[in-house]
Amino acid sequence: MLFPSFAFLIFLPVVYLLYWYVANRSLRLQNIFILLASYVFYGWWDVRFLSLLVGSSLVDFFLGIAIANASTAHVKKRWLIVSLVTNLGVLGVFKYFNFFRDGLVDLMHGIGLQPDLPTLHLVLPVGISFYTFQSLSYTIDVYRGRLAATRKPVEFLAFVSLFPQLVAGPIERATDLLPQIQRPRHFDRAQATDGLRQMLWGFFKKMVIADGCGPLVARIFDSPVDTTPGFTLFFGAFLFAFQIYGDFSGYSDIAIGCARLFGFNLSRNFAYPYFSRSIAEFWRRWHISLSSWFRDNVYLPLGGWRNKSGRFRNIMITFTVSGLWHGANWTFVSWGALHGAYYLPAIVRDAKPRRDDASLSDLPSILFTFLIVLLAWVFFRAAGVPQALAYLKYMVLHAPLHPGIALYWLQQHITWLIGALLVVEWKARHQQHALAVLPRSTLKRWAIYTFIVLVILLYMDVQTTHEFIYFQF
Amino acid sequence: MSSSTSNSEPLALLGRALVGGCLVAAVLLLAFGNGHHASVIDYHGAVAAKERRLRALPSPKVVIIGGSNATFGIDSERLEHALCMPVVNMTIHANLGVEFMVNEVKSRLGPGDLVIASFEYSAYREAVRDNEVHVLTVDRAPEAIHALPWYRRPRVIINVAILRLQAAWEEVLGERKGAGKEKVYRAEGFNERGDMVAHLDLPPRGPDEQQPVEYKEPTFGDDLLPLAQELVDSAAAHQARVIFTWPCIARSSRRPSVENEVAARMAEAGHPLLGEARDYVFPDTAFHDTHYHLRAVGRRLRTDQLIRDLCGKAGINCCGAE
Repeated sequence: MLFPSFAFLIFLPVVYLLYWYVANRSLRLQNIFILLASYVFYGWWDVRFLSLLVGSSLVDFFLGIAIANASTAHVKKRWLIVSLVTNLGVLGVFKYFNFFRDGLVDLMHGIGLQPDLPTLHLVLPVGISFYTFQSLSYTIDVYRGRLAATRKPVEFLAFVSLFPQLVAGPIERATDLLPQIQRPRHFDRAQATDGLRQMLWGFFKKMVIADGCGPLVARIFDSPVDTTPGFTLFFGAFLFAFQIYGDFSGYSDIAIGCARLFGFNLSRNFAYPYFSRSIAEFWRRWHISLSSWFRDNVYLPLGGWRNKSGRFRNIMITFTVSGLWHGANWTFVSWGALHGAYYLPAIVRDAKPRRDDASLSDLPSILFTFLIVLLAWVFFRAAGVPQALAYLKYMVLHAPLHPGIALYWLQQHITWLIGALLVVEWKARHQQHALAVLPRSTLKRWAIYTFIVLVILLYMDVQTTHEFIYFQF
Repeated sequence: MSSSTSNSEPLALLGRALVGGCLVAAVLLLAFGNGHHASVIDYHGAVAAKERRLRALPSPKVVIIGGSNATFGIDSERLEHALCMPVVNMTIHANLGVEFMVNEVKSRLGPGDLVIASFEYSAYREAVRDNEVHVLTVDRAPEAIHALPWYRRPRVIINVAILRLQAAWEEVLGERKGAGKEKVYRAEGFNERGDMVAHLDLPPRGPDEQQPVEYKEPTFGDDLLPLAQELVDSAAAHQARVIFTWPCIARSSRRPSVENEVAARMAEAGHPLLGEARDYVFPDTAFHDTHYHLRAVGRRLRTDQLIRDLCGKAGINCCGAE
């Protein structure tokens, strides 16, 4: 089920009312109900893949108990390996089999062999990368002794499938979310109201910014690069930067806001990443739940920042794997590797990360960081690595500063809407989300809500269903 | 845990959200009622005239349902002369779905009526549609809403209202575009019987300007047969008859394997298609902009073939057939 859909408009209030007025009689009932609602939400997309979700969750549930019950470190490790192999195996079959198969075939052709390897024709289950990583975080945390294994299957299944964040995150740590599922939720008016506001801003980002940029991005990226003006190509990359930001951070805002309606606090996933002053800061602000997952489970076990000679290698490995997580394509691998390479100057200078929020005096470093992020987005969006390279080449070669074309793009409504997004988010950059602090006057608050809803209605695309980009990951 | 049925706070929050929802609904109601059509092209508005004709014609009559292969490719006047019955061609767009097409006519049949169903191959795969064509149709012909099941109506009405609001906003900004040079896809491009005729005099198009037919798997979905049965049962209850016929298609888009599966599945369900699929395959040059939309010469050949099949294989009393 998509958030911006008529089905969800009905689903949400019905589930909300039943949750607080019928299922609220006991914790067990609350959890059973949220689990069933989550399965309906997921099954709405394709009921066949529910079995995969349930099956993979149950495997980790039993493996969690096995790890907790293991008498020796060796046995614990063995069960953890089973969990890793099972989860990554499922992910590998559905997502990466053909990618590695093609790579192997190319390699064997290179040495003169003609292999006859099978190709799988599988539909990628929506959200598989997200729930697999979330489920995996549980067995890893139990193994590391950070968390006691739960003995209640409903609790664990609800943790893996909690519907607001099931298909595109935030990827929740078991240490954060599972305890929330294990204790009763009480309605908190302030929390729920703030959740609704966050949802509203998420819908604006998704339905106005992301869906507004989408058709223009498709038009520019699908046009022949050698005859397209350089500024148009630059603007295409600029629009894609906001399409993916609006799409993914919009989803996260809706998910976090929606979860708050049900008494859950999900972790923050975006913290105004385009106001970052360095690439390291960008990755502390973009897709935070995934970045921290890779930091804790890949980068730090590799040695992290401790060993200066190995830093660059560790960063490159982490970012390349992170790129591959996004999709089985060399474009994502290149995107990840490029981001890893961006870290090189910071490693050489041994730069310390800045923790304060940006101010206007930081504008040059913000613009520079945005520019290099934008260049990397070209790899993320392009059909292939050669196409991305050609796009970047012609973007630079074909009159990159053309006043007439710049004026044309400046006149587009979407440009002004992106401008409005940046102004609002800049003003709110110290807050959890853009609408976290609003005027005390009820009238002014409602005027703001009405204005945002009206803008959504005026600019939403009624005729096309736009799925979230991150659903494919 | 304390029972929260006495706790009114969740309900109060929902109430406030509903107040906001009512404000939005009021804005949309205003937009819906302002008389501005959202779509600048009025092609789908032809549904209104077709429904008027369907209601006005006495029985026995011929009712053609299906997608635009029949809109562009059947000469209803010729059919009328051959069958000695008035004809109404209800077809307009395959994306309305068979469910819409069946709902539109099933309660308006009478004794002796003949329903000719001519569905595109995509309809056999996906008979129930939920898309923007319904929105554009209801925008131009609000009475068409009755052909949608009740649970699909709110979404369509809301979307029409949103589109009309957006159209009004474009009007305010002076950015609203007209129908431009569009000559064919307009309500006035239809004749009184509901056939599209605006394309008949246009010069032929090259292959690059023709859209081929797209096929997807599976060839035959689960929704069509129940709808076909519903149509047949409704017709029988009104002493009418249904005949399923082949769509016309351009030679280069033809897929015999798809035809075979459709023929087999329909025959197995007791709804065999009339005649042979190959008799409705025409050269690409006989088509206009898509491989389903016949030009004048193909339209005549297809209609004559249909009349031959109806009068011969279907045993229809063809008083006026040559």
